[in-house]
Amino acid sequence: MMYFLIVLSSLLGAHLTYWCTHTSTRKMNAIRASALLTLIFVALTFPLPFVFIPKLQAAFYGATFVGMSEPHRLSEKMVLLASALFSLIFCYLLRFQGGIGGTLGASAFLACLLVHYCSAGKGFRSAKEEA
Amino acid sequence: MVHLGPLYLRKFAAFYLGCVSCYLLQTHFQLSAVLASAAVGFLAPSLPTTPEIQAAVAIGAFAGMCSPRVMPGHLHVLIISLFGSAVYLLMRPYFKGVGGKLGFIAFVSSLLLLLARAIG
Repeated sequence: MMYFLIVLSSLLGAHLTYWCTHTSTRKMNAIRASALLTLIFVALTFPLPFVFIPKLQAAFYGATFVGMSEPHRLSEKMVLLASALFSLIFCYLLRFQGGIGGTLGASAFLACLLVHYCSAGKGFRSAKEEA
Repeated sequence: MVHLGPLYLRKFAAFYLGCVSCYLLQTHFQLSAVLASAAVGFLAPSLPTTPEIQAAVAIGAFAGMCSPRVMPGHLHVLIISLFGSAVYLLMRPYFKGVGGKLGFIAFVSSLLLLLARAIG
């Protein structure tokens, strides 16, 4: 249940941030979009009586970093893929005692880089095959 | 090379502002790390300065998410700001537009703080 909700909130966080930053008619500053969406998510989930709510909020906040990617780096679909990868990294990191600042950002950065370079590699191969 | 000094100082001041704000929100107002960082991150783009300096404030807020175990006092906030602004200055031309870059800089500066604490 908790892992499913972590994946779901990660997908939601990344997609909404990307939408607010690049797709919506009123394009927002990426940092502000990430922070504002997190504040709204925290306000909505704060009253819920589950012990894992802080973890969900952290996953959502981390995923908003993925959504801060520029379209020339990651497309909308690749952002969703990167956020799913981020949620897996996040679930793995849950077993360790946290407390180091920037862990969420580093996980998001790793997920984005992996998806970006994998997709670039795929594109390069397919172009070669076509030739 | 000469212009790097003032640029570093501006980034350092911005990083420190973000970091100390997040730290104070956590320690004095008992906010969670996520809430404190998001609050500072929300206000950072409102500052009347360049987007780079606003980003430095946001990175400071990410670094300020460190637990009191890692960053127990104001001296550590100062040290992490020194490291963080230097890392930000060095990484400025690389990985533009990749999500999580700012958080990664905060992570590297937190690791450098841990390393400095282990050595000192």
